[in-house]
Amino acid sequence: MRFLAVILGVSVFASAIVVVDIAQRDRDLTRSLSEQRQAIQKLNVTYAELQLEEGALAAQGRVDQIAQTRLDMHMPSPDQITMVFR
Amino acid sequence: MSRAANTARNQKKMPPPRAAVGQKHWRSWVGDRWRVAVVFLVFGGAALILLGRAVQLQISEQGFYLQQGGDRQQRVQVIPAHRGMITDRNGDPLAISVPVDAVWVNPTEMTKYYQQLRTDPNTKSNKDKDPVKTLAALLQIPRATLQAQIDSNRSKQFIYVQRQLRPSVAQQIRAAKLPGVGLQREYQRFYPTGDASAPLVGFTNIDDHGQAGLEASYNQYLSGKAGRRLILKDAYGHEIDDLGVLSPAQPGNDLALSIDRRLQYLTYSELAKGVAEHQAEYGSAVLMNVATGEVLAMASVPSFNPNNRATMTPALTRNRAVVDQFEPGSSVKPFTILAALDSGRWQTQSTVNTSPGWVRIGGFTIRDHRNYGVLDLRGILEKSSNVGASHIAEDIGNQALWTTFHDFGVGLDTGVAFPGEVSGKMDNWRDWSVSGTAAHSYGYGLSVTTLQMAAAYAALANHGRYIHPTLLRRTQPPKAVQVAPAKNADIVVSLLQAVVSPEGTAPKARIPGFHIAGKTGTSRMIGADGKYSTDKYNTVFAGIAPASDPRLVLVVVVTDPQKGSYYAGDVAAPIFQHIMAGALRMLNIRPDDLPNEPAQMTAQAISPAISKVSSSSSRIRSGGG
Repeated sequence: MRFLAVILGVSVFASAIVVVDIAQRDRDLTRSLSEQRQAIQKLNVTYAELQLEEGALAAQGRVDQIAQTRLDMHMPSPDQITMVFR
Repeated sequence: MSRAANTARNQKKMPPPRAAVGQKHWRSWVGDRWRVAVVFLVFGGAALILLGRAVQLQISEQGFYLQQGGDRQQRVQVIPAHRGMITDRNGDPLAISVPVDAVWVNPTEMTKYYQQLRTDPNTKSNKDKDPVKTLAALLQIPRATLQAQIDSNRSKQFIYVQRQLRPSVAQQIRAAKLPGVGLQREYQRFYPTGDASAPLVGFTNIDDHGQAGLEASYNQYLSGKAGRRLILKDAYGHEIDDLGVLSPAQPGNDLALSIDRRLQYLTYSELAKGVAEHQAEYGSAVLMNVATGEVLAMASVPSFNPNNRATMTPALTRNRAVVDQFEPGSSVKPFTILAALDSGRWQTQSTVNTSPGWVRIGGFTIRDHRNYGVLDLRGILEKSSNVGASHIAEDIGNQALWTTFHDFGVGLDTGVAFPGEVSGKMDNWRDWSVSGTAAHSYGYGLSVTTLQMAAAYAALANHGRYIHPTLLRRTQPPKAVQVAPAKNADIVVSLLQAVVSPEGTAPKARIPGFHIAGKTGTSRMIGADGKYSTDKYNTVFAGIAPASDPRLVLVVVVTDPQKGSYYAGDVAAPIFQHIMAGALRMLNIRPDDLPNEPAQMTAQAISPAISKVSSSSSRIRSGGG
């Protein structure tokens, strides 16, 4: 009887400690979850900005101009083209 | 003495009375322990009060305090949801939402702060002595302007100072931590393709709601709905518990258009060039995929920069390919010819005598440019003979003509769900007069949009199967309606190749390497007085390529060219040629009209290509010269 009481007493104490520990871990995880959520937000913002930048850099007008002025490219005239068929 | 003795005697003789004993016991007890009793009373009472208070707090008023505690630690967190992207058919963005910040001021708080500053000099130690000045400096606006704005809204709790800030400025304001100043997350819409697709895509207002174009018609689908989550924060502001989502966030859906960004740019830039060259009032062009009914490009000139609203006027935002209608003129003649073939009364080799180059029908004189003599159906299209078309219309009757036009979508909504789309106009055939029937055969008395024209030509090119055009990427094969016998539609397409021949009306639409079928249309515009103008023309070129196996249809409309020729063959046809040649190349469509066909070409060109890639590329560059 006394043995049982000791066991129960120890268990109650142990579970109390574990509850505290779990609560702490829960808070830590929640915190890290919210940090991850914020990180997702931030990455989304960055992604949108990068897409925009890509869109601006790859704009046809810009590519067109760079090809013609900086790279000195031009459309070949029909007599300069040889058709290759497969 | 005696009394003392008596007492002593009494003590000796009698046992002490009970009461006296009790009294003595009590007194001695009190004498010994009354202090203890007082302490017990006080402490016991205090303990009882505490216990009672604890019961009160924990049980009877639990709800109230739970709520109060919650209010101090619980926070409602906004789960942001942004507006969906509009992309082209390959997923490249045409409209994209980027998070930015708006800066707001609480004028009440601001005013209070300044009052406090005046009365309490200690506040002066605060490093933000003058938030209005600091904010004005960061926003690069005059301080007086900002001060006036705050003063005139003194009783309010919230006014926007500036919206859609640059991120760098927002960061500085956030770092300055000014009293009564805050930032609010919002989204700004950017359009990477700018003016090339602006009238089609449309734009949103400052609150990210669609106002024009597809942004408006698909606003519901694109809009996101921000959600809310309940969280618990500790004293340091860290989130320590997630109490659940109050309302889930619904991010906006991405909308994939049928537009191809490269083709859109090509179409827009060539159209803009042509419109400028001919000093035309405006122009529009629609490029369609014949097999799917998808619109690959839809351009409208003049356009505007959707990223800079300052230059925008309502006239510039019109998508003229859909919201403007015009009399198509001769560009409907292929459908007149088709109606003739469908009637069974006309064959390809049937002829019409168009001499003397004019004819009087119902009191009106219909003229050709000159006397073309006897023409077959090919000749009517090639020379664009109004007299020939009128004779055919007279023969087959108004109902047959109306039915063909109607089946090809004239006067009917295309179903693209574009705001402000007009469906063109065509009266019922019963209301057509004799001269009206003739006029309809060469494109007067009815009106269409550029998009309708493109859909009609696409049906012709698609072996007589009409497909409702769409501005969205198709994921399922479209429903096609057979509106004309495939054989007759194919005949008309082959006849239309004559138009771009040197003898036709539009040799400038010819593309080397490809068979092109097309038709010009030059029509007089109705002036402000309701009469046909003598100097304002609308020019149309509608074309199909490659004619032997149609893949693309392009309709170019240029309205009121001021400089040079006003004939469609000189205005719209060259624009068609530039756009279509580029589109055929970009889509890698196989040429169907090469002088020396594949057999020996293949052998010549491929062998070096296989043996050495670099040498083959140099050969392609220099070859054939």
